[in-house]
Amino acid sequence: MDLSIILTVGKYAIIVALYAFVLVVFRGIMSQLATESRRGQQVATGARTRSERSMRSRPPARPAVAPRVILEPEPQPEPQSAPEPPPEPPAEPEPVPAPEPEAPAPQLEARPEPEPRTEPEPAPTISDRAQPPELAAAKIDLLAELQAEDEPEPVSEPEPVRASGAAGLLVIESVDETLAVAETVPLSAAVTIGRSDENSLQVFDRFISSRHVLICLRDGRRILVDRGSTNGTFVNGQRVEEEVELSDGDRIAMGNTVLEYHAG
Amino acid sequence: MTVIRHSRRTELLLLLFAALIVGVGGVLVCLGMDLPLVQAARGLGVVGAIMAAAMMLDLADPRRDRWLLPIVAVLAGLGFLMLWQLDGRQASRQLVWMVAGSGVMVAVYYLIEDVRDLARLKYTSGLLALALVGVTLAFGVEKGGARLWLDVGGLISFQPTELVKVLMCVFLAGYIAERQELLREDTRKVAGFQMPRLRHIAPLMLMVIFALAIFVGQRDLGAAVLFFGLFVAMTYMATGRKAYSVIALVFFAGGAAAAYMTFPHVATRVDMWLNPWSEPVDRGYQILQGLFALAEGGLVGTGFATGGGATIPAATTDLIFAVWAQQLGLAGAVAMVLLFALAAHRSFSIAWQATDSFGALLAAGLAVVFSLQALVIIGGVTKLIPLTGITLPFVSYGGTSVIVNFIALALLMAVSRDCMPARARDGGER
Repeated sequence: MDLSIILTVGKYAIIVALYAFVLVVFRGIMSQLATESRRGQQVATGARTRSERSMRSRPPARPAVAPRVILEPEPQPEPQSAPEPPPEPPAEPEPVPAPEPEAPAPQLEARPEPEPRTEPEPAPTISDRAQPPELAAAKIDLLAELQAEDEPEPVSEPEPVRASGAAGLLVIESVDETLAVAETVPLSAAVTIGRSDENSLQVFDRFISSRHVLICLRDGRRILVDRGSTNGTFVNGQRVEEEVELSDGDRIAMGNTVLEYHAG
Repeated sequence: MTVIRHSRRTELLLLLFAALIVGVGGVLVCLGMDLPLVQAARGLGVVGAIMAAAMMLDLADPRRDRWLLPIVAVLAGLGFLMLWQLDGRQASRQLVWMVAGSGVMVAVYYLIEDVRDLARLKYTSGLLALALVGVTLAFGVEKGGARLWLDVGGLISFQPTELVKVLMCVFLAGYIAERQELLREDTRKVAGFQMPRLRHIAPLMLMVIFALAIFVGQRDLGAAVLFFGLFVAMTYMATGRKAYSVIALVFFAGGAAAAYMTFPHVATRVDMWLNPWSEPVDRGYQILQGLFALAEGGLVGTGFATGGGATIPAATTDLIFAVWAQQLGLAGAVAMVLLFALAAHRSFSIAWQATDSFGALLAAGLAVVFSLQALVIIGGVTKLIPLTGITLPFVSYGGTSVIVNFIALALLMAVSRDCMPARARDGGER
């Protein structure tokens, strides 16, 4: 009789202990999740997406830049290489705000010097983020026209895409400090570009849609697909309707960002 | 660093908690079976092995998940106690497997310097998986109506299917992570659905169809269901396109109907699921004995060492859930399901937080395998779905199963070590 009482009590004890265990683990997991996501929110915008990017499509060695908040106006005006004497009156350089305590201003020296490839002289400094959209759009149009003149008919001489590994996008213009001018972003079989962090190449540019374009290989041809972007994608000045085949040297303009496609 | 020290202590405390539960259970088993109380240490051996492994994992790099090991310790420890009452010899072997498995987990954890490097081995592991399945089909030994066992030199018999599921996870994660954007974006509209182009999906489909065909030929239906679920879940998680799931379900329904009509053993399973009473001492015997055990367990169970489960076929492997439910009742069974749910939740959070798509998909795939296995066998025992033979991770008896589950655990730990935001290759340290 004693034994059966012990066994019964023991059984209840074990069941209660099991539930206590489940409860403790559950609370622990939840509180850890809460702290992690809180920490994540602080870091995620900068560090996490950047690391993602470097793992997916960038060479790993990149200078560490402090995390930043996406829509924050630039603390310092960026030197920008415009391809033409700027059509719009250059905006006043913004007064330099005090650097934030949390995210110190990225060092300009840390970045590679902008090397304009086709453009001889760097344009006067403007703050891109202060541009009204109309100006930006106008600039893109003009820019596209100019490029069309520079490269007469790049589309008419289709170059076969040889190796997918060597293909890349050369950054001509960028307002994103993590996407330095003259840097080459390697292209894998498929790369999505846009503002949200689900893209393999995330670009912090206000005039780029969160899902802007897809550049992929199809039957050995490199195809650019516009994913219904708001401000459009321009390849050599032509607005892309749905999709277009890229050939070596094509200029891809989205928002304030200009990339040059190299078949490699 | 305080966070790490704190969570390390949490893990240790939880493992001690697990040891307490299993220790008390062991004492009860000893009392009930009239064994010397010292033998209760055998149950503690399982938890002890996991605890030692946890400490060894911390020697090199303490930044890893802290919750999976205690959960596994409770499941494995209590599972061992069930086993012990059913079959002493199997229990002794299981204890050896648990210790060996913990060792393998530590070894794998150290061998993998960076889990992201595994992505390069995707084709190797895919081919290895197919080779293993093929070899089993050619030279396998039949046990219990399914040809799943491989005898190596007459010494070790080994169940390759178990290893195949981890290899398949690595393959699928590597393949899909590389082509995530293609699968998601380079699509065509077919009958109202955004479908991926055939060229992107074809190799994947071929691989999976091949594996499934072999499994169905091998009569290992549990594995077939598991692989199919894994494939569907992985493509959905990678692309977020529901069309894949819908197509897969259509395929599954078609395949299931075809299998029902073609293979008699599939038909048996379904018939016995629909009405086990038609042949209660023959084909419906196993599922009925399982149901009897559940009924006898009632709300709080019959307690340890009450001699449950002796009549259930495969009680130590596939139907261990019925034994658990008989001894600890509905309350204990629900607690077990909750433990599996917590383990799955934790694994999915590892996947969700991973900064690398390969790591994320690998962790998610392992989590899917883990939870699908539990779902398929618990659902089968409770007659929610047709009963198919598959092991309950960490609870069932089985050397290969235990070792492979520990390997999967090591991979999850490695993902939690290598792919977290704080470990990003450049910056992010605050």
